[in-house]
Amino acid sequence: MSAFKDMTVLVIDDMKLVRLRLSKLCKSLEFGKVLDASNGAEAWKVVSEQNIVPDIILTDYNMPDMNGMQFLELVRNHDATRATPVIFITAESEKAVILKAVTLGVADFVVKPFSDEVLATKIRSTLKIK
Amino acid sequence: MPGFVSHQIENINHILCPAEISRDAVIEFEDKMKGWLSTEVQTQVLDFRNVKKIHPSFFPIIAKFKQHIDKSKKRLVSVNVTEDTSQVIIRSGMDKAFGMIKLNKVEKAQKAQNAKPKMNDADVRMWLVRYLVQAARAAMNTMFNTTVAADENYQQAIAHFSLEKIFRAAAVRVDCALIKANFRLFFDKDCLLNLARATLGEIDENDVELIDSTATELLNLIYGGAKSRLNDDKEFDLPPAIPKLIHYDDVIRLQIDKKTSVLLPFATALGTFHLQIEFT
Repeated sequence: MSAFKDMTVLVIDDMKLVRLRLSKLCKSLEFGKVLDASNGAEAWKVVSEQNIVPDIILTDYNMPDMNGMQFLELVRNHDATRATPVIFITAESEKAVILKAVTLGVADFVVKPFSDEVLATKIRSTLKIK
Repeated sequence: MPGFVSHQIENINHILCPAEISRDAVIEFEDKMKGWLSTEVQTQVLDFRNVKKIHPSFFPIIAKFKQHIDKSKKRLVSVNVTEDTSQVIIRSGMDKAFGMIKLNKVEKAQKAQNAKPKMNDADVRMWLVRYLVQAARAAMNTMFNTTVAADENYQQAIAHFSLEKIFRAAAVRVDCALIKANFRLFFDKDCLLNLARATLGEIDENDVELIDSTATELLNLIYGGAKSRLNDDKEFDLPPAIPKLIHYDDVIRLQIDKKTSVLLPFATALGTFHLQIEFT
């Protein structure tokens, strides 16, 4: 029985190829619920209007309407999601971007391109699952 | 229960400080310091988001920590420091040692750290092409599980390139002090479908959004990857950019001028795609 079976993951990326790939990986890890959104604004609707607090959020940084950093700020300033771990998955790997994400409280950072194994390891480590 | 919780994220050691940095917490910090200093990370980040109280014995320990970090030419910064805590640190005379930075100044502070000498146009173009090719290789190896034959010194003769077979193109426009250029990635249909299949397995070939995003995501990996490394390694200050898609009807109208463009072919087992850099 998967340790993730009662958990919800929210996947955010403006590229459908990436959303499908991340969703596929999360389904293979047997997350109970896999939700997705194409940008921070859409993702925030899922959290605030549908009242869903994911157990973990995987998000891109560079997206239209609301980027990952702006979304992370919202998440950190909202009581229900303040402690929700967020992993950035992005090609934007500059030291300044990583430092800003760490300052905002990102749980981990995966630089694109990435392998499924690396991301799965970081998800497990973030949720403290072996 | 540990007071200081550390976690390595890329090249950063993130150290979350406890609400009260007591005398015992300071002893714990000193114990852990050796381990933190022995890692390869470039930046030690002290996160003060929870801190309400600091025992004075913390300050000489931070001075020692900073001394070791400076010796190895690395960096110490303190983030999420409240106004009250900031005043305590300033009154102790330790503000330089702590390296406090505010959230809205984080990127500027990091860029100032990267200062490097300026270079001429030819060198800028050389590094740009080199890093784009490296980023393309990394993308093909890691994401699409294939190798790519690409050489920064091999540029396809534009006269031999036809837009007629091109199914989709992804494009990014960059307009900054350093360069003004259009980056376009050209794909025929088979190559794009193969790339999508290599990522996802079975796909719906009629899923237009999926196919289009395969093109734009690959340019995102190539431009984004090159840009991030160039900005850090060579102080390029290239802006972020979200690739747009160009459909066949607009592709066919493009003019590729050999005077202003560089065209790089990337040959893979999944097909060949081309990167055009048009300097404007």
